[in-house]
Amino acid sequence: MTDKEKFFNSGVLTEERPGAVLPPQDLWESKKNGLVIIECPQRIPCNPCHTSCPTGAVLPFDDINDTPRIDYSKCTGCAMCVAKCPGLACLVVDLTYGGPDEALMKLPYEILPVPEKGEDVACMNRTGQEICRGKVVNVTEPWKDRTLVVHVVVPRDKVQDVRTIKVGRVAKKKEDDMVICRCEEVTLGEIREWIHKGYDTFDELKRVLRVGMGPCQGRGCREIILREVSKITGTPYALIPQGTIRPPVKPVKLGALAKGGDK
Amino acid sequence: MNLIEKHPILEFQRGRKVQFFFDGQEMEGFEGEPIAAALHANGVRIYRVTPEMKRPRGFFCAIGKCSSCFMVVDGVPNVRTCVTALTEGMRVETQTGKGLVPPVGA
Amino acid sequence: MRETEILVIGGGPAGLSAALEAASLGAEVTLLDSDLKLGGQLIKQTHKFFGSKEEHAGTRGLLIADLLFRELEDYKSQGKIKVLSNCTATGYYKEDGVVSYVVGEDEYVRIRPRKIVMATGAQERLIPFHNNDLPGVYGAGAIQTLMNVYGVTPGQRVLMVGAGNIGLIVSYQLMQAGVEIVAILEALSKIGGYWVHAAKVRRMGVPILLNHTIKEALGTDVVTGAVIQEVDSKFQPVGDPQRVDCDVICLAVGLTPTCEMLWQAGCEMKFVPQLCGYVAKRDSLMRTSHPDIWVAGDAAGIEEASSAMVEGRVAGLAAAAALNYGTPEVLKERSTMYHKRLSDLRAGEVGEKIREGLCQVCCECWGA
Repeated sequence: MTDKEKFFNSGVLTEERPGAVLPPQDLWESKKNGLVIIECPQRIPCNPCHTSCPTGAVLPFDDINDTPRIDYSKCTGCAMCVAKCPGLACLVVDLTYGGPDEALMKLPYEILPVPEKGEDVACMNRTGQEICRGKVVNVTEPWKDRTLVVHVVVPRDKVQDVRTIKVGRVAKKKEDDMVICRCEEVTLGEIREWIHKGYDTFDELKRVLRVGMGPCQGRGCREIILREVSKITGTPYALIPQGTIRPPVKPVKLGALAKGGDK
Repeated sequence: MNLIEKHPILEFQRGRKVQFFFDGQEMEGFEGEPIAAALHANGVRIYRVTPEMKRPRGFFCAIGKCSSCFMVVDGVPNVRTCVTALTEGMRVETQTGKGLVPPVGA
Repeated sequence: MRETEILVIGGGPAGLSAALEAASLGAEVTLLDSDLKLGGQLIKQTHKFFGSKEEHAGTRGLLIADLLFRELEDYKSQGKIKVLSNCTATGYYKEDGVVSYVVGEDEYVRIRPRKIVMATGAQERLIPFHNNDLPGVYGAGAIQTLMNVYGVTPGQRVLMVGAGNIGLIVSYQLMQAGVEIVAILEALSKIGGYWVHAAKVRRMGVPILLNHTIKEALGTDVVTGAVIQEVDSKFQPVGDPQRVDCDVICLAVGLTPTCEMLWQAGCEMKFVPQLCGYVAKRDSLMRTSHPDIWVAGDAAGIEEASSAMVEGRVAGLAAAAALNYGTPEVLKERSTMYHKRLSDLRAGEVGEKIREGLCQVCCECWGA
């Protein structure tokens, strides 16, 4: 099985399929209020996207199991289907909104806490990784049934990837939460962040993050960090300097130091 | 208490607050909810200890079909606490073993 | 001894629908339900249902239950339906057609119905792994009851076992209740539930680990973690087992029809893997080989609540018709409509299994 298939089999869309297509680019770029995207690639008995559409843009189903088809010329981006779809599979993307680098997304939302207008939120892709930040400009409840539609402004080049938002605490990839430097409690996410900023030697990372400056002096974290540097920069691990290793290599009491030394 | 205070979809209509006792310890629950739910809300997860292997058991099916949540309630053993409603002052005890039949007239 | 025209056993989506349908034709119905609250699994569903308008598509399961309860109130006040909650049916006696039940834990009662609709639902499956009896290993239905009916948080970090619709939906519901999902395990190489349900939790960061199973629950008194294992297509281990921290392990590895009383009644039974266990053979109006017994919902084969409601309608209709309620025209018109709805609900990809299963147990009609 290919990776693509494996992803799809676990609920992640990897490419266009019947029932999960993007709108035609020309119309999309000019349509005020945006156009709907439905990601519903499986034949299941369900048609509320059609029955909730006030303009007939989601075409009638011959068989209730058909995947949805859309007449984009009729879609007004009203997001009624976004709030009705039992699978939360509909969203609206408005490319005409804001500046040239921005776009507005209207996403279904049924989780607490509810974002507030003006709030800065994490935008997540189909596997739940935060890929950018977005700004919430409106929250509506079209059917008054507690399914909300969050209007969020995102970077325009991210509209094909952002699929939900998360309020508050920055959503990190699970892996990023792993503690790498146990002494100073620095996570993999923080380390990666600084490597990406160009701090790609152990000594530089030590200065910005204090990694390797605790009691163990980098015994636990040095290799993991440098392997991470190697992965990100492409430099073979063996060629990456280990950094300056200063004494004491084991914790020594200050009193012992004060008393000790050459007689 | 392990209670859901806010939920995006649901509102919980809980019964009147009542006191009950778990192994002699006073606890709070809502009248009419299953005993097992009230215990779980109070952080109690072990409801009985099995007769043979002395294994701890707790909540499992929640619909009165599995026997996992048998407890002694007001002196009566083997009560299915997942489908028995909580009432004021109820005495709920961890059941060890098969349980003793209460004496006649008790 | 109590008497009733039609006894419906089970007050879930199928039983409620059967009772309502039979009463709508004028029959006198007794509805028996073991739970403290009527509605079966329906009242625990916070998600919107699939289907078409007729099945209330786009309405949350618990609100569909409310619609049925409202309909029920009318018949209750007319004395057409008598509801017995917290009453567990304990047996069917073939000799005299009597059903026994207990009220709560104490009172034992016998009732002789003229016709019976068995809508006894399903029970959850267990899978073998070390420590699977430890407190903290809970059935998915139990978790739904705890959190969605009684508002109690089942735990802090849940490992979900099974990516069928129940596993996927309950994961989403747990997140709505503020609980973290460590991962969803699926032993097969593909999720079993609706793809959109999976997409919903994936985009919120929940990993779905295909080809993974649980090996062991960790903890001495209560669950503190689990050992999981990647497996190949023959369920043989691949690589090293992994340890995850969690305080609840939720089992959503399938349901099996509750059919003890159908056995007791001597109904012709058949093991049908696609319907998840032994089920009664039935005709197109859900009548079993026992002329006075009908079956509906999960008890007739594991399926969705939407189809359970339609099956309940069919069974209620047919049981009432057998007592000469309704005209042949009404019977024909309604059954045609219900059959059309059922075949629509079962026409998709996920319905394929159901179709394969049903053709093994359905007959046009029993020999006269």
